[in-house]
Amino acid sequence: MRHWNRGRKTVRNFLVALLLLFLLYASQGFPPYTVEGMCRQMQHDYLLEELEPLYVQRHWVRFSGGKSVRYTTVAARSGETYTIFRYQDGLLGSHRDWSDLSPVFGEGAVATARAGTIYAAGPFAEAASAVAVVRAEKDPEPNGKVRSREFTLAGTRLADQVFAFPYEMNRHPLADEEPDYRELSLTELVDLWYRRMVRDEAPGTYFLRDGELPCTVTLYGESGETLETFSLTVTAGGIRSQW
Amino acid sequence: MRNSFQIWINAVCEQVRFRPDHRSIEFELRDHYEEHMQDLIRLGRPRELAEERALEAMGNAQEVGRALDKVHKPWLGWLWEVSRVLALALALLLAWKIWQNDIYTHSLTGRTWDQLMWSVPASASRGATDYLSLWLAPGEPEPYCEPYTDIPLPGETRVQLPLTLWVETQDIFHDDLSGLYEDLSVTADGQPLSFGNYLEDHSQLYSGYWNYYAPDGWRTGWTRYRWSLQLVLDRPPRRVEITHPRCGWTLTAEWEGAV
Amino acid sequence: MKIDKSLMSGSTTLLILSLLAGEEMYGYQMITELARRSNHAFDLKEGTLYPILHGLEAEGLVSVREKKSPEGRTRKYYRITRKGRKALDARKEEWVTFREQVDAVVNSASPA
Repeated sequence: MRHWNRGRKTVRNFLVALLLLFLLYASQGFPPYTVEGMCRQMQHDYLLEELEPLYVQRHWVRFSGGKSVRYTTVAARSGETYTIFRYQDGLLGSHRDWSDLSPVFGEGAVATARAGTIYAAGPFAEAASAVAVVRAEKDPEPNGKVRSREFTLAGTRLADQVFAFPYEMNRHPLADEEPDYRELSLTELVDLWYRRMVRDEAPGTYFLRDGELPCTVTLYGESGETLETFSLTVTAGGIRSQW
Repeated sequence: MRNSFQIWINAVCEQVRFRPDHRSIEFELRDHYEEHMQDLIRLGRPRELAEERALEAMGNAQEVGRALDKVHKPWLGWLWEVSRVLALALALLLAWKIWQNDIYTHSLTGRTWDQLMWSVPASASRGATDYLSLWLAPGEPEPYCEPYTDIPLPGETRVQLPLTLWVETQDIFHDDLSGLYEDLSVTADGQPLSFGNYLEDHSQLYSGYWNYYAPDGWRTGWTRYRWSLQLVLDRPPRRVEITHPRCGWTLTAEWEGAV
Repeated sequence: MKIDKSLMSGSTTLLILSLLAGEEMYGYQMITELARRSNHAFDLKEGTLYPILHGLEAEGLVSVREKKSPEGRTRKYYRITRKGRKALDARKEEWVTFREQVDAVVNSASPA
């Protein structure tokens, strides 16, 4: 047995490799490789009806330290339910990205903000153009005054039922004095208004409160008439997310 | 004269295209040559002559080399090398994954074990309230382990019941769904279970208890969440009922063939 | 008596397998053993031996392993496999038939 010739050893090695590959794949929970596979897994886990992918985006994110990760973002539809979710691609299949940004679901339509773009999926096929209005709101001040600002973002069509609304990504430098909020960008305002300092910790550390920003998507027809309006939300964490 | 054998063996190896085999071919032929030479010296031949005779006996280097090359097929050689590297790399990768604990043992053992132990529960049932809808996932129940107490106590059965919550909330700050458990009552085979956590309640194991795990953050509006109901019981349940008494709906999971 | 090379070439495999049927051997040992058993009638060139041996190994008729010889040198020893024994039996049968037929022709021609 120990003195097999080269041909037999080669066959044996390939069989062993095949078995190991299967074990590896199984040990990772049989992760999907294709968008269809991702949809099937989502469908199973979230009790959805047939999930139909509407838009697929693959992109690389380079992290500090040189590590690069490829993500697959999918917008899909299951009956009236729209969902946007993301998978992290790997050699051994793709793994679902678990966070409060993925997956997101919505009845009728859904929106999510991610690294400089608000993605919205819904029955948008008829629209010639779309505009999103995001509203940032400060917690009521002691005197009851509520400060808010609205940002209007122009939509780019990504697919039949998916629009993208890019916004500027810049961060508010943590100044001691509060700057004039009317001059700040969306990300800066989110930083300023949805920020919570961590008490009893190193000074300056803070996190974003789990805030939601109303995001109204309006569809327009060929001649500029308003077709429909969707009241959606995006999260503060999503607007500020780096990837 | 030692050199003349080196020249001969180099000429042989030159013909063999699969280079990694050169060493073993040289090793074997050199051994042969040296033994032959020594035998000739023992028979009384002068060294010079012995070397010459031994080398002569080895034959024509080109012919030997060509014949060896026919047997030492380079494609098979490289295929063999590739298969070795591949198998080794995969074995190391698997070992690394196990070492990192980056494996989902549930998918390896849990599922098959479950499928042996349980049949799939009855199809999804639905209940609704004014503010939320609940769906019970028809997925198979999974055994589970608490993060810090990996080993179930003797006589203890742990069951994980996947649930999909389909919920509509207006305001996450007011309808905090993580408080939903206060409204739910869970029974296993008619026996009520208290809501509890493992470390505090495992002294009350006899009656059993339940807990939940919800990995997603909350959002307003219609959305779906994955929950899993975790039951710690003294035996596998046949029927688990989740009731929201205030709203009057009941979700039922049944297993066939459980003890 | 030396034997004509062309007569030998077809039967070297048979000779090598027969040698190995008895015991495990290394290359040089095979040549000396063959010469001894055949009373120096067969003088196998080492140049032909090794390609044949390596070929037999690739076919799975013999297996090879490295072993320390009694004198303490590490050598490659060849051993016949089960498949090799089957091949040997087949070759033997072939040889016997061949020999009988050659004999028959040769003998019928001789009384002239």
